[in-house]
Order: sequence, then structure tokens, then C-alpha cells
Amino acid sequence: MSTEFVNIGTDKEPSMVPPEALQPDTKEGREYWEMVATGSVVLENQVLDLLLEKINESKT
Amino acid sequence: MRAKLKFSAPGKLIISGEHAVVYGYPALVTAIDRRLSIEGSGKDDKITSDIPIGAGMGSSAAFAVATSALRIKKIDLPKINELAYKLEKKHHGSPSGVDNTICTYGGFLWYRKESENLKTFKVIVPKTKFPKIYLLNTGKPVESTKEMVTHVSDLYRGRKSYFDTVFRGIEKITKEFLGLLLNDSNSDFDELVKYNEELLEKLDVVSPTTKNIIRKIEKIGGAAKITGAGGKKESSGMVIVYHNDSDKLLKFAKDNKLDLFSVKIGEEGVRIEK
Repeated sequence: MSTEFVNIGTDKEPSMVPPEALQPDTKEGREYWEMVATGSVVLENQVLDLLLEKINESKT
Repeated sequence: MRAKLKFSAPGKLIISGEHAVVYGYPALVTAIDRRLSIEGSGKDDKITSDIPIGAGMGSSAAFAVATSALRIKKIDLPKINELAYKLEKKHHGSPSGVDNTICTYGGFLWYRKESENLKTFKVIVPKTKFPKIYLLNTGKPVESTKEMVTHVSDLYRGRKSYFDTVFRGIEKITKEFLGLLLNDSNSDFDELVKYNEELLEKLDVVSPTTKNIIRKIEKIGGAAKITGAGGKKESSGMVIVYHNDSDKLLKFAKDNKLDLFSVKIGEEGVRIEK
């Protein structure tokens, strides 16, 4: 179980997500994003945008 | 020596509302007859499960719920649900509460994110039985589920009013499914499944291969829709399939070498196993 969350926001405005959220191609990441698509995990719109931005950054 | 206890919790399936639920539209989910069990006394517990992992079928929540029951040592649904939510939060950060609630209470659950801070849950007590359904495994999509979420998000941002209409259509179907459960709708189950699939195809989350299988099922008199995030390139994950003549469906699956299996829905939530 993941307990160490990652801050994808700033120190002033932290947005904590589990590490698998940033690894969508892993088994755990796939499960996490499936939960987003089916409403099991709720991401605020801003956090969703930030998360997608971070994933894209890590791929380039 | 402490006595060993055994608790089990069901997996879940989304009947209607995938993707739309991200944008504040409702979803209807159900508990299924795939279960995860934990036996022990809190130390070296034995876990067994027939819930597929990573398929959006609630394996993680079933674990959280069964573990919570083992910690509480009795069936106290509100307490189990509360503890399971905490465990889910520790694991996923911002769970909606859908998975732990359906795995705790079983049956059917209506859910909607009203706003960022307000969510509506309603455990549904059905007044009638849903028709028997099957699950068809089209295989693991080549895309990540994040890609599917991003894809729908990009489409939505590009043509918001059009996709709002699609989501409203999905909402109407989700309400009709609920109506069927409450004996408050004259809709045909198979027509709702077909229309739901049609709208999911408008979201471009169904691959040509999966569409082809679904068209064939429709041709033999059945109906099918993807359940979960889907996949648009090759496989699309799990598909809910209905046919009023099960033999016809089983023969079709055998002839086409498809991985089809029956699944019971509206199943019991967490329970103690003897």
C-alpha cells in the first residue's frame, strides 16, 4: 500500500497524489486511473490538470 | 490464542456512468459475486480473491473492507465503511467513497459528484431483479487508462456543448437503469445497454475490434456495452453482455473463442464467513 504521497503542487498550495498516479503505465497506475474514470477517485479539476502536466513533463 | 475470523467483501462493477461521472454526472454501480476473503487474527492473515486486479472491479476496496471487518471483528456496516474509507484514503489519496460503500453494503449504489466538496450516495434497495448479465473480457487495452481519461477530457474541452449532450444522454440512461431497479421504468434493459454503448462510442472509448464484437452480439439479438475506462486502439477491457437467450450467447462466445463468463450483480456486501 502506498503511504508516501507526492506533492505535485507548490509548498504554499500542495496537491498530494499517490505515486502511482504519476506512473500510468504501471499495473498500479492503470488501476488508479481506472478508478478516476469510474468515479472511484475524485480529482479536483485543477489537480487533474496539474497531474496530466506533470506526467507529460516526465515523458519529454 | 486468539480465534481466527474470516470476512469477505465483494468486487464491484459500474453499470452506467463511466467517464461521465468525472464531469459530475451520476453513476450506478453494483456489487458482484466475485469476492475477496481475509482469514486470521490480525497477524499473518490469509487472503484469497477471485476479483480481477486492475480491472476497475474494486479489488482494492474489497481488501480495505474485509481488512476493516477483521479489525472490528464483527459486522458493523457503518464502522466498517468508515474504516475502509480511511484505508482507501491512505492508499489512493482522494477516493470518492463509492468503492468502499458498495463493497460494504452490497446491492446497488447511486453516486454523483455534485461539486468538488459535495458528493451524493444512495444505497439502492431494488424492488425487482436485474436481468442476468455476462462479462466479456476483450483483453487489456494497449493504452493506459490515463490516456483514456485524457482523451475524453480533450474531446470535452474541444466541443463542450456537444459532449455535454452526450453526458446528459448517459445520465438519462443511468436514471432509467435506476428506474428499472425501482420498478419505475418501462424501458427495455437491452435497449438501455445498446444506447449506453452508442453514447460511449461517441466518446471514442471503444476500439473497432470491440465494436465489431458488440455489433455481432446485437445481430444475434443481444446487447453489450463496455464497463470502465475502455480502450480505443485494440482491446477495450470488460464488456457487459445481455441476451434473453443465454444459450445463444454462450454458443456465440464459443464459436468466436471469446472469454465470456456469467456474473451475478446486486450481491451481498461484507459478511462473516463460517
